[in-house]
Amino acid sequence: MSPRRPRLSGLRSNVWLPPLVAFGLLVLVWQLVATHEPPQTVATVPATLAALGDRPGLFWHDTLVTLQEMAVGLGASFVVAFTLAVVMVHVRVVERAIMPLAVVLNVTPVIAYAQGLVILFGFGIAPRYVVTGIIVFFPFLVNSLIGLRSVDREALDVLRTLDASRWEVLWRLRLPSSLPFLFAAGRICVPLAITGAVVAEFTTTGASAGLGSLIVVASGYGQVAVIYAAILVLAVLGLVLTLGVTLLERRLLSWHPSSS
Amino acid sequence: MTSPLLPPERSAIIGEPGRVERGTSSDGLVVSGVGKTFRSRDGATSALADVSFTVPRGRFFTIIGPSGSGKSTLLRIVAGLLEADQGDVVIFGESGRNASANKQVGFVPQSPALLPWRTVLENVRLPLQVNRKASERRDAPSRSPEEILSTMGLGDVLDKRPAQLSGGMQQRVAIARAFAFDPAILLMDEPFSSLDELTRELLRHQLLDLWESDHKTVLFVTHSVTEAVVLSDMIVVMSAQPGRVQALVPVSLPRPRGELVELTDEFHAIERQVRLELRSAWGERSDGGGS
Repeated sequence: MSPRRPRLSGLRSNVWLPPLVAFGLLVLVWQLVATHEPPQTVATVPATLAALGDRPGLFWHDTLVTLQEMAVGLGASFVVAFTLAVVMVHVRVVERAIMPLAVVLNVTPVIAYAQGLVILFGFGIAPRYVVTGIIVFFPFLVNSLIGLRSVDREALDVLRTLDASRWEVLWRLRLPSSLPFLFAAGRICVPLAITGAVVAEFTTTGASAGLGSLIVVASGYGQVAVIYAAILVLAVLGLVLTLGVTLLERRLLSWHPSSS
Repeated sequence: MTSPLLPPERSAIIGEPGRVERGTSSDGLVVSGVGKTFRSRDGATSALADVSFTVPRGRFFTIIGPSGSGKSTLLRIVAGLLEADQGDVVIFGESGRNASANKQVGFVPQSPALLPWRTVLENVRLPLQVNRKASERRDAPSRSPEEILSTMGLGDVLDKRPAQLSGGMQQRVAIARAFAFDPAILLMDEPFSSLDELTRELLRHQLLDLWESDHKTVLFVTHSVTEAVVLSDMIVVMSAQPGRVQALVPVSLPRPRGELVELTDEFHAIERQVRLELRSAWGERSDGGGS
Protein backbone atom coordinates (compact mmCIF):
# COMPACT_ATOMS: atom_id res chain seq x y z
CA MET A 1 0.00 0.00 0.00
CA SER A 2 1.29 3.43 -0.83
CA PRO A 3 1.10 5.91 2.01
CA ARG A 4 -1.52 8.58 1.55
CA ARG A 5 0.05 11.94 0.94
CA PRO A 6 -1.12 14.47 3.52
CA ARG A 7 -3.52 17.05 2.16
CA LEU A 8 -3.02 20.63 3.20
CA SER A 9 -6.22 20.63 5.26
CA GLY A 10 -5.18 17.45 7.00
CA LEU A 11 -1.84 18.76 8.20
CA ARG A 12 -1.24 18.45 11.89
CA SER A 13 -1.12 21.57 14.08
CA ASN A 14 2.62 21.19 14.68
CA VAL A 15 3.04 21.75 10.96
CA TRP A 16 0.92 24.84 10.43
CA LEU A 17 1.15 26.44 13.88
CA PRO A 18 4.84 27.57 13.91
CA PRO A 19 4.68 29.51 10.61
CA LEU A 20 1.34 31.00 11.64
CA VAL A 21 2.85 32.28 14.89
CA ALA A 22 5.86 33.67 12.98
CA PHE A 23 3.53 35.49 10.55
CA GLY A 24 1.49 36.80 13.46
CA LEU A 25 4.65 38.18 15.07
CA LEU A 26 5.70 39.82 11.79
CA VAL A 27 2.34 41.59 11.50
CA LEU A 28 2.59 42.61 15.15
CA VAL A 29 6.06 44.12 14.70
CA TRP A 30 4.90 45.86 11.54
CA GLN A 31 1.96 47.38 13.37
CA LEU A 32 4.14 48.43 16.35
CA VAL A 33 6.69 50.11 14.08
CA ALA A 34 3.97 51.79 12.02
CA THR A 35 2.22 53.26 15.04
CA HIS A 36 5.52 54.76 16.29
CA GLU A 37 6.54 56.19 12.93
CA PRO A 38 4.97 59.14 11.13
CA PRO A 39 2.09 57.93 8.88
CA GLN A 40 3.84 59.21 5.74
CA THR A 41 6.76 56.74 6.23
CA VAL A 42 5.11 53.44 7.21
CA ALA A 43 1.47 52.46 6.73
CA THR A 44 -0.26 50.65 9.57
CA VAL A 45 -1.85 47.26 9.01
CA PRO A 46 -5.44 48.63 9.09
CA ALA A 47 -4.46 51.49 6.72
CA THR A 48 -2.94 49.00 4.29
CA LEU A 49 -6.03 46.79 4.37
CA ALA A 50 -8.23 49.89 3.98
CA ALA A 51 -6.25 50.94 0.88
CA LEU A 52 -6.88 47.49 -0.55
CA GLY A 53 -10.58 47.57 0.34
CA ASP A 54 -11.11 51.09 -1.03
CA ARG A 55 -10.11 50.25 -4.57
CA PRO A 56 -10.18 46.49 -5.07
CA GLY A 57 -10.75 46.94 -8.81
CA LEU A 58 -7.53 48.92 -9.20
CA PHE A 59 -5.44 46.30 -7.40
CA TRP A 60 -7.14 43.48 -9.27
CA HIS A 61 -6.43 45.14 -12.62
CA ASP A 62 -2.78 45.83 -11.75
CA THR A 63 -2.36 42.28 -10.43
CA LEU A 64 -3.65 40.91 -13.72
CA VAL A 65 -1.21 43.09 -15.67
CA THR A 66 1.75 41.93 -13.56
CA LEU A 67 0.52 38.35 -13.79
CA GLN A 68 0.28 38.63 -17.57
CA GLU A 69 3.85 39.95 -17.77
CA MET A 70 5.02 37.07 -15.63
CA ALA A 71 3.08 34.47 -17.58
CA VAL A 72 4.33 35.64 -20.97
CA GLY A 73 7.91 36.16 -19.73
CA LEU A 74 8.03 32.82 -17.90
CA GLY A 75 6.29 30.89 -20.66
CA ALA A 76 8.35 32.25 -23.54
CA SER A 77 11.58 31.95 -21.58
CA PHE A 78 10.82 28.35 -20.64
CA VAL A 79 9.99 27.37 -24.22
CA VAL A 80 13.19 28.97 -25.56
CA ALA A 81 15.40 27.63 -22.73
CA PHE A 82 14.01 24.10 -22.91
CA THR A 83 14.23 23.94 -26.70
CA LEU A 84 17.79 25.21 -26.52
CA ALA A 85 18.60 22.62 -23.84
CA VAL A 86 17.22 19.84 -26.07
CA VAL A 87 19.46 21.04 -28.91
CA MET A 88 22.43 21.33 -26.53
CA VAL A 89 21.96 17.75 -25.31
CA HIS A 90 22.22 16.49 -28.88
CA VAL A 91 24.71 18.95 -30.36
CA ARG A 92 27.59 19.64 -28.00
CA VAL A 93 28.98 22.53 -30.05
CA VAL A 94 25.77 24.53 -29.50
CA GLU A 95 26.24 24.20 -25.74
CA ARG A 96 29.83 25.41 -26.02
CA ALA A 97 28.72 28.40 -28.06
CA ILE A 98 25.60 29.42 -26.13
CA MET A 99 26.47 28.66 -22.50
CA PRO A 100 29.02 31.48 -22.07
CA LEU A 101 26.47 33.93 -23.50
CA ALA A 102 23.84 32.68 -21.07
CA VAL A 103 26.31 33.07 -18.19
CA VAL A 104 27.07 36.68 -19.19
CA LEU A 105 23.34 37.38 -19.38
CA ASN A 106 22.90 35.85 -15.94
CA VAL A 107 25.74 37.67 -14.15
CA THR A 108 24.85 41.12 -15.51
CA PRO A 109 22.30 42.74 -13.19
CA VAL A 110 19.02 42.94 -15.07
CA ILE A 111 18.21 46.29 -13.51
CA ALA A 112 21.32 47.72 -15.18
CA TYR A 113 20.21 46.96 -18.71
CA ALA A 114 16.45 47.17 -18.20
CA GLN A 115 16.56 50.85 -19.15
CA GLY A 116 18.39 49.99 -22.36
CA LEU A 117 15.74 47.38 -23.21
CA VAL A 118 13.00 49.94 -22.63
CA ILE A 119 14.64 52.31 -25.11
CA LEU A 120 15.08 49.42 -27.54
CA PHE A 121 11.58 47.94 -27.26
CA GLY A 122 9.60 51.10 -26.55
CA PHE A 123 7.66 52.05 -23.43
CA GLY A 124 4.87 49.54 -23.89
CA ILE A 125 4.51 46.12 -22.32
CA ALA A 126 7.08 44.42 -24.61
CA PRO A 127 10.20 45.34 -22.59
CA ARG A 128 8.45 44.00 -19.48
CA TYR A 129 8.09 40.60 -21.13
CA VAL A 130 11.72 40.70 -22.19
CA VAL A 131 13.08 41.65 -18.75
CA THR A 132 10.94 39.00 -17.02
CA GLY A 133 12.00 36.44 -19.60
CA ILE A 134 15.70 37.23 -19.28
CA ILE A 135 15.74 37.03 -15.49
CA VAL A 136 14.33 33.47 -15.49
CA PHE A 137 16.16 32.26 -18.58
CA PHE A 138 19.35 30.99 -16.96
CA PRO A 139 17.81 28.86 -14.20
CA PHE A 140 15.45 27.34 -16.78
CA LEU A 141 18.27 26.63 -19.20
CA VAL A 142 20.64 25.09 -16.66
CA ASN A 143 17.97 22.98 -14.98
CA SER A 144 16.58 21.78 -18.31
CA LEU A 145 20.06 20.80 -19.42
CA ILE A 146 20.88 18.94 -16.19
CA GLY A 147 17.44 17.33 -16.19
CA LEU A 148 17.65 16.11 -19.78
CA ARG A 149 21.09 14.69 -19.08
CA SER A 150 20.20 13.02 -15.79
CA VAL A 151 18.82 9.89 -17.38
CA ASP A 152 19.38 6.38 -16.08
CA ARG A 153 22.21 5.25 -18.37
CA GLU A 154 21.08 1.66 -18.37
CA ALA A 155 17.51 2.62 -19.25
CA LEU A 156 19.04 4.59 -22.12
CA ASP A 157 20.95 1.43 -23.11
CA VAL A 158 17.70 -0.55 -23.14
CA LEU A 159 16.11 2.03 -25.45
CA ARG A 160 19.18 2.08 -27.69
CA THR A 161 19.11 -1.70 -28.11
CA LEU A 162 15.52 -1.23 -29.30
CA ASP A 163 16.77 1.34 -31.81
CA ALA A 164 14.47 3.96 -30.31
CA SER A 165 14.64 7.26 -32.20
CA ARG A 166 16.00 10.43 -30.60
CA TRP A 167 12.46 11.70 -30.38
CA GLU A 168 11.33 8.53 -28.56
CA VAL A 169 14.25 8.77 -26.15
CA LEU A 170 13.41 12.43 -25.54
CA TRP A 171 9.70 11.85 -25.05
CA ARG A 172 9.78 8.59 -23.11
CA LEU A 173 12.98 8.97 -21.08
CA ARG A 174 14.65 12.39 -21.07
CA LEU A 175 11.57 14.54 -20.60
CA PRO A 176 10.08 12.63 -17.64
CA SER A 177 13.56 12.33 -16.09
CA SER A 178 13.95 16.10 -16.32
CA LEU A 179 10.64 16.93 -14.61
CA PRO A 180 12.04 17.08 -11.05
CA PHE A 181 14.65 19.56 -12.28
CA LEU A 182 12.08 21.60 -14.19
CA PHE A 183 9.92 21.90 -11.09
CA ALA A 184 12.94 22.92 -9.02
CA ALA A 185 13.55 25.61 -11.66
CA GLY A 186 9.88 26.58 -11.46
CA ARG A 187 10.09 27.15 -7.73
CA ILE A 188 13.12 29.40 -8.25
CA CYS A 189 11.74 31.18 -11.31
CA VAL A 190 8.28 32.18 -10.08
CA PRO A 191 9.64 34.60 -7.44
CA LEU A 192 12.34 35.70 -9.88
CA ALA A 193 9.71 36.46 -12.50
CA ILE A 194 7.82 38.66 -10.02
CA THR A 195 11.06 40.56 -9.39
CA GLY A 196 11.62 40.81 -13.14
CA ALA A 197 8.11 42.09 -13.81
CA VAL A 198 8.27 44.68 -11.01
CA VAL A 199 11.75 45.89 -12.02
CA ALA A 200 10.51 46.25 -15.59
CA GLU A 201 7.47 48.19 -14.39
CA PHE A 202 9.70 50.51 -12.35
CA THR A 203 11.61 51.41 -15.50
CA THR A 204 8.59 51.60 -17.82
CA THR A 205 6.14 53.66 -15.82
CA GLY A 206 4.98 55.10 -19.14
CA ALA A 207 2.75 52.07 -19.45
CA SER A 208 1.13 52.84 -16.14
CA ALA A 209 -0.32 49.53 -15.05
CA GLY A 210 0.99 46.68 -12.98
CA LEU A 211 1.73 46.50 -9.26
CA GLY A 212 5.28 47.86 -9.74
CA SER A 213 3.97 50.88 -11.65
CA LEU A 214 1.35 51.35 -8.95
CA ILE A 215 4.15 51.53 -6.33
CA VAL A 216 6.03 54.16 -8.36
CA VAL A 217 2.93 56.25 -8.96
CA ALA A 218 1.76 55.95 -5.33
CA SER A 219 5.19 56.98 -4.03
CA GLY A 220 4.99 60.07 -6.26
CA TYR A 221 1.76 61.03 -4.50
CA GLY A 222 2.97 60.00 -1.03
CA GLN A 223 0.28 57.29 -0.73
CA VAL A 224 2.20 55.03 1.63
CA ALA A 225 -0.78 52.75 2.31
CA VAL A 226 -1.17 52.01 -1.41
CA ILE A 227 2.55 51.12 -1.63
CA TYR A 228 2.19 48.71 1.30
CA ALA A 229 -0.98 47.25 -0.13
CA ALA A 230 0.75 46.64 -3.48
CA ILE A 231 3.68 44.94 -1.69
CA LEU A 232 1.20 42.78 0.23
CA VAL A 233 -0.53 41.75 -3.01
CA LEU A 234 2.86 40.93 -4.60
CA ALA A 235 3.76 38.74 -1.60
CA VAL A 236 0.43 36.90 -1.77
CA LEU A 237 0.81 36.52 -5.54
CA GLY A 238 4.25 34.97 -5.13
CA LEU A 239 3.00 32.69 -2.38
CA VAL A 240 -0.02 31.47 -4.34
CA LEU A 241 2.00 30.82 -7.50
CA THR A 242 4.77 28.99 -5.64
CA LEU A 243 2.14 26.91 -3.85
CA GLY A 244 0.58 26.16 -7.24
CA VAL A 245 3.92 24.91 -8.58
CA THR A 246 4.40 22.76 -5.48
CA LEU A 247 0.93 21.22 -5.76
CA LEU A 248 1.40 20.51 -9.47
CA GLU A 249 4.77 18.96 -8.67
CA ARG A 250 3.22 16.65 -6.09
CA ARG A 251 0.61 15.60 -8.57
CA LEU A 252 2.94 14.96 -11.48
CA LEU A 253 5.93 13.67 -9.53
CA SER A 254 4.23 11.24 -7.18
CA TRP A 255 6.78 8.66 -8.43
CA HIS A 256 9.77 10.75 -7.42
CA PRO A 257 11.49 10.13 -4.05
CA SER A 258 11.33 13.86 -3.27
CA SER A 259 7.54 13.74 -2.99
CA SER A 260 7.34 11.01 -0.36
CA MET B 1 1.52 -20.01 -32.57
CA THR B 2 4.47 -18.11 -34.00
CA SER B 3 7.54 -19.98 -35.03
CA PRO B 4 10.54 -19.06 -32.92
CA LEU B 5 11.23 -22.77 -32.40
CA LEU B 6 10.83 -23.84 -35.97
CA PRO B 7 13.99 -24.99 -37.68
CA PRO B 8 15.33 -22.30 -39.99
CA GLU B 9 14.52 -24.06 -43.26
CA ARG B 10 10.88 -24.32 -42.15
CA SER B 11 10.83 -20.64 -41.17
CA ALA B 12 12.14 -19.79 -44.61
CA ILE B 13 9.41 -21.85 -46.25
CA ILE B 14 6.51 -20.37 -44.33
CA GLY B 15 7.97 -16.87 -44.35
CA GLU B 16 5.88 -14.22 -46.09
CA PRO B 17 7.47 -11.75 -48.46
CA GLY B 18 8.57 -8.56 -46.73
CA ARG B 19 8.64 -10.20 -43.34
CA VAL B 20 11.81 -10.46 -41.34
CA GLU B 21 12.65 -14.04 -40.51
CA ARG B 22 14.90 -15.04 -37.68
CA GLY B 23 17.95 -15.70 -39.84
CA THR B 24 18.58 -18.40 -42.33
CA SER B 25 21.16 -20.47 -40.51
CA SER B 26 21.19 -22.43 -37.31
CA ASP B 27 23.63 -19.93 -35.85
CA GLY B 28 21.98 -17.54 -33.47
CA LEU B 29 24.95 -15.38 -32.64
CA VAL B 30 28.34 -15.42 -34.29
CA VAL B 31 31.12 -13.46 -32.60
CA SER B 32 34.23 -13.55 -34.76
CA GLY B 33 37.61 -12.05 -34.00
CA VAL B 34 36.21 -9.28 -31.83
CA GLY B 35 38.79 -6.93 -30.33
CA LYS B 36 38.38 -3.73 -28.39
CA THR B 37 40.92 -1.26 -27.04
CA PHE B 38 39.99 1.67 -24.83
CA ARG B 39 42.19 4.69 -25.28
CA SER B 40 42.60 7.42 -22.71
CA ARG B 41 45.23 10.00 -21.79
CA ASP B 42 47.00 7.38 -19.68
CA GLY B 43 47.42 5.10 -22.66
CA ALA B 44 45.56 2.26 -24.28
CA THR B 45 43.93 -0.66 -22.47
CA SER B 46 43.16 -3.73 -24.48
CA ALA B 47 39.82 -5.01 -23.21
CA LEU B 48 39.14 -7.79 -25.69
CA ALA B 49 41.39 -9.59 -28.16
CA ASP B 50 40.32 -11.97 -30.88
CA VAL B 51 37.16 -13.24 -29.17
CA SER B 52 35.27 -15.78 -31.25
CA PHE B 53 32.44 -18.17 -30.49
CA THR B 54 29.09 -19.15 -31.91
CA VAL B 55 25.85 -19.49 -30.01
CA PRO B 56 23.54 -21.84 -31.91
CA ARG B 57 19.88 -20.89 -32.15
CA GLY B 58 17.94 -21.60 -28.99
CA ARG B 59 21.00 -22.15 -26.80
CA PHE B 60 21.81 -20.58 -23.45
CA PHE B 61 25.44 -19.41 -23.33
CA THR B 62 27.04 -17.85 -20.29
CA ILE B 63 30.19 -15.75 -20.21
CA ILE B 64 32.16 -15.99 -17.00
CA GLY B 65 35.52 -14.52 -16.15
CA PRO B 66 37.51 -12.52 -13.64
CA SER B 67 37.08 -8.77 -13.33
CA GLY B 68 38.68 -7.03 -16.26
CA SER B 69 38.03 -9.88 -18.64
CA GLY B 70 35.82 -7.64 -20.74
CA LYS B 71 32.61 -9.64 -20.20
CA SER B 72 30.38 -6.60 -20.10
CA THR B 73 32.33 -4.93 -22.90
CA LEU B 74 31.72 -7.97 -25.07
CA LEU B 75 28.02 -7.98 -24.24
CA ARG B 76 27.76 -4.27 -25.03
CA ILE B 77 29.43 -4.87 -28.38
CA VAL B 78 26.97 -7.66 -29.15
CA ALA B 79 24.12 -5.38 -28.07
CA GLY B 80 25.33 -2.71 -30.49
CA LEU B 81 25.99 -0.28 -27.63
CA LEU B 82 29.72 -0.24 -28.34
CA GLU B 83 31.70 -0.53 -31.58
CA ALA B 84 34.29 -3.29 -31.87
CA ASP B 85 37.72 -2.25 -33.15
CA GLN B 86 38.23 -5.58 -34.88
CA GLY B 87 36.00 -8.45 -35.89
CA ASP B 88 32.26 -8.52 -36.17
CA VAL B 89 29.03 -9.75 -34.66
CA VAL B 90 26.27 -11.43 -36.62
CA ILE B 91 22.89 -12.05 -35.01
CA PHE B 92 20.67 -14.45 -36.95
CA GLY B 93 22.33 -13.51 -40.19
CA GLU B 94 22.12 -9.76 -39.57
CA SER B 95 24.74 -7.29 -38.40
CA GLY B 96 24.34 -6.31 -34.75
CA ARG B 97 23.19 -2.86 -35.86
CA ASN B 98 20.44 -4.27 -38.09
CA ALA B 99 19.38 -6.74 -35.43
CA SER B 100 18.76 -3.81 -33.07
CA ALA B 101 16.97 -1.85 -35.78
CA ASN B 102 14.68 -4.87 -36.28
CA LYS B 103 14.09 -5.19 -32.54
CA GLN B 104 15.71 -8.60 -32.33
CA VAL B 105 17.85 -7.80 -29.29
CA GLY B 106 16.49 -7.98 -25.75
CA PHE B 107 18.85 -6.39 -23.25
CA VAL B 108 18.74 -6.85 -19.47
CA PRO B 109 21.23 -4.51 -17.78
CA GLN B 110 22.85 -4.94 -14.36
CA SER B 111 20.36 -2.67 -12.63
CA PRO B 112 16.66 -3.12 -13.44
CA ALA B 113 16.67 0.34 -15.13
CA LEU B 114 12.89 0.60 -14.88
CA LEU B 115 11.23 3.94 -15.53
CA PRO B 116 10.05 5.06 -12.08
CA TRP B 117 7.06 7.02 -13.41
CA ARG B 118 5.63 3.98 -15.18
CA THR B 119 3.79 1.12 -13.54
CA VAL B 120 5.11 -2.44 -13.79
CA LEU B 121 2.85 -3.20 -16.75
CA GLU B 122 3.71 0.08 -18.49
CA ASN B 123 7.40 -0.67 -18.06
CA VAL B 124 7.02 -4.07 -19.67
CA ARG B 125 5.03 -2.51 -22.51
CA LEU B 126 7.77 0.06 -23.21
CA PRO B 127 9.61 -2.04 -25.84
CA LEU B 128 6.33 -2.50 -27.72
CA GLN B 129 5.79 1.27 -27.79
CA VAL B 130 9.12 2.35 -29.27
CA ASN B 131 10.40 1.65 -32.79
CA ARG B 132 6.94 0.49 -33.87
CA LYS B 133 8.03 0.21 -37.48
CA ALA B 134 10.20 -2.77 -36.56
CA SER B 135 7.25 -4.38 -34.74
CA GLU B 136 5.06 -3.99 -37.81
CA ARG B 137 7.57 -5.95 -39.86
CA ARG B 138 7.30 -9.00 -37.65
CA ASP B 139 4.78 -11.26 -35.98
CA ALA B 140 3.12 -10.05 -32.82
CA PRO B 141 4.67 -11.54 -29.67
CA SER B 142 3.11 -14.87 -28.78
CA ARG B 143 2.57 -13.83 -25.17
CA SER B 144 1.15 -10.60 -23.81
CA PRO B 145 3.06 -8.55 -21.19
CA GLU B 146 0.41 -9.58 -18.65
CA GLU B 147 1.02 -13.27 -19.37
CA ILE B 148 4.78 -12.92 -19.05
CA LEU B 149 4.42 -10.97 -15.83
CA SER B 150 2.16 -13.58 -14.32
CA THR B 151 4.59 -16.36 -15.35
CA MET B 152 7.20 -14.38 -13.39
CA GLY B 153 4.87 -14.27 -10.38
CA LEU B 154 4.14 -10.58 -10.84
CA GLY B 155 0.47 -10.83 -11.76
CA ASP B 156 -0.57 -9.01 -8.60
CA VAL B 157 1.65 -5.98 -8.97
CA LEU B 158 0.85 -4.86 -12.53
CA ASP B 159 -0.23 -1.40 -11.39
CA LYS B 160 2.50 -0.82 -8.83
CA ARG B 161 5.36 1.57 -9.41
CA PRO B 162 8.92 0.16 -9.34
CA ALA B 163 9.72 1.96 -6.06
CA GLN B 164 7.01 -0.11 -4.38
CA LEU B 165 8.73 -3.39 -5.29
CA SER B 166 11.71 -5.22 -3.80
CA GLY B 167 14.99 -5.40 -5.72
CA GLY B 168 14.29 -8.97 -6.78
CA MET B 169 10.83 -8.08 -8.10
CA GLN B 170 12.24 -5.10 -9.99
CA GLN B 171 14.78 -7.36 -11.66
CA ARG B 172 12.02 -9.78 -12.62
CA VAL B 173 10.14 -6.88 -14.24
CA ALA B 174 13.32 -6.04 -16.18
CA ILE B 175 13.52 -9.62 -17.42
CA ALA B 176 9.83 -9.61 -18.34
CA ARG B 177 10.44 -6.37 -20.27
CA ALA B 178 13.15 -8.10 -22.33
CA PHE B 179 10.90 -11.09 -23.07
CA ALA B 180 7.84 -8.95 -23.84
CA PHE B 181 8.63 -8.05 -27.43
CA ASP B 182 9.83 -11.55 -28.32
CA PRO B 183 13.35 -10.69 -29.45
CA ALA B 184 15.46 -13.29 -31.26
CA ILE B 185 18.26 -13.05 -28.72
CA LEU B 186 18.47 -12.06 -25.08
CA LEU B 187 21.58 -10.38 -23.70
CA MET B 188 21.81 -10.31 -19.92
CA ASP B 189 24.55 -8.40 -18.13
CA GLU B 190 24.87 -9.83 -14.60
CA PRO B 191 21.20 -9.17 -13.93
CA PHE B 192 21.25 -10.83 -10.51
CA SER B 193 24.51 -9.39 -9.23
CA SER B 194 22.93 -6.89 -6.85
CA LEU B 195 20.54 -9.40 -5.23
CA ASP B 196 20.94 -11.51 -2.12
CA GLU B 197 21.78 -15.20 -2.55
CA LEU B 198 18.28 -16.53 -1.82
CA THR B 199 16.64 -14.14 -4.26
CA ARG B 200 19.28 -14.99 -6.85
CA GLU B 201 18.45 -18.69 -6.59
CA LEU B 202 14.75 -18.02 -6.93
CA LEU B 203 15.24 -15.77 -9.94
CA ARG B 204 17.61 -18.21 -11.60
CA HIS B 205 14.91 -20.86 -11.61
CA GLN B 206 12.20 -18.44 -12.67
CA LEU B 207 14.38 -17.40 -15.58
CA LEU B 208 14.86 -21.06 -16.45
CA ASP B 209 11.09 -21.67 -16.33
CA LEU B 210 10.51 -18.73 -18.63
CA TRP B 211 13.30 -19.84 -20.94
CA GLU B 212 12.05 -23.45 -21.08
CA SER B 213 8.80 -22.23 -22.58
CA ASP B 214 10.36 -20.84 -25.76
CA HIS B 215 14.10 -21.61 -25.72
CA LYS B 216 15.35 -18.22 -26.74
CA THR B 217 18.96 -17.74 -27.72
CA VAL B 218 20.61 -16.22 -24.65
CA LEU B 219 23.99 -14.69 -23.88
CA PHE B 220 24.27 -14.24 -20.13
CA VAL B 221 27.14 -12.63 -18.21
CA THR B 222 27.79 -13.62 -14.61
CA HIS B 223 30.38 -13.79 -11.85
CA SER B 224 28.78 -16.82 -10.27
CA VAL B 225 29.98 -20.27 -11.27
CA THR B 226 26.89 -21.95 -9.81
CA GLU B 227 24.62 -19.63 -11.72
CA ALA B 228 26.52 -20.34 -14.93
CA VAL B 229 26.23 -24.10 -14.54
CA VAL B 230 22.56 -24.07 -13.52
CA LEU B 231 21.51 -21.95 -16.48
CA SER B 232 23.74 -22.75 -19.40
CA ASP B 233 24.23 -25.09 -22.29
CA MET B 234 27.75 -23.75 -22.70
CA ILE B 235 30.02 -21.66 -20.48
CA VAL B 236 32.48 -19.30 -22.15
CA VAL B 237 35.35 -18.81 -19.68
CA MET B 238 37.23 -15.57 -20.32
CA SER B 239 40.78 -14.68 -19.26
CA ALA B 240 41.67 -11.16 -18.27
CA GLN B 241 43.49 -8.22 -19.85
CA PRO B 242 42.90 -8.54 -22.61
CA GLY B 243 39.76 -10.62 -22.44
CA ARG B 244 40.11 -13.78 -24.51
CA VAL B 245 38.19 -17.00 -24.65
CA GLN B 246 40.03 -19.23 -22.19
CA ALA B 247 37.79 -22.26 -22.60
CA LEU B 248 34.35 -23.39 -23.68
CA VAL B 249 32.83 -25.68 -21.07
CA PRO B 250 29.74 -27.57 -22.25
CA VAL B 251 27.02 -28.22 -19.65
CA SER B 252 25.29 -31.46 -20.53
CA LEU B 253 22.93 -31.59 -17.56
CA PRO B 254 19.43 -32.69 -18.56
CA ARG B 255 16.69 -30.11 -18.94
CA PRO B 256 14.40 -28.96 -17.51
CA ARG B 257 16.65 -28.39 -14.54
CA GLY B 258 14.95 -28.26 -11.19
CA GLU B 259 16.45 -26.95 -7.99
CA LEU B 260 17.79 -30.42 -7.16
CA VAL B 261 20.17 -30.32 -10.11
CA GLU B 262 22.67 -28.49 -7.94
CA LEU B 263 23.00 -31.60 -5.71
CA THR B 264 24.11 -33.97 -8.47
CA ASP B 265 27.71 -35.17 -8.94
CA GLU B 266 27.62 -34.19 -12.57
CA PHE B 267 26.79 -30.61 -11.58
CA HIS B 268 29.71 -30.48 -9.16
CA ALA B 269 32.08 -31.94 -11.74
CA ILE B 270 31.21 -29.19 -14.23
CA GLU B 271 31.41 -26.57 -11.51
CA ARG B 272 34.89 -27.82 -10.62
CA GLN B 273 35.97 -27.73 -14.23
CA VAL B 274 34.80 -24.12 -14.62
CA ARG B 275 36.60 -23.13 -11.42
CA LEU B 276 39.82 -24.71 -12.66
CA GLU B 277 39.53 -22.87 -15.94
CA LEU B 278 38.88 -19.63 -14.09
CA ARG B 279 41.91 -20.24 -11.89
CA SER B 280 44.15 -20.68 -14.88
CA ALA B 281 42.53 -17.62 -16.45
CA TRP B 282 43.82 -15.65 -13.47
CA GLY B 283 47.34 -16.90 -14.12
CA GLU B 284 49.59 -16.27 -17.07
CA ARG B 285 47.93 -16.52 -20.43
CA SER B 286 50.46 -19.17 -21.45
CA ASP B 287 49.38 -21.36 -18.53
CA GLY B 288 45.78 -21.59 -19.65
CA GLY B 289 44.66 -24.13 -22.16
CA GLY B 290 41.41 -24.86 -23.92
CA SER B 291 39.28 -27.66 -22.65
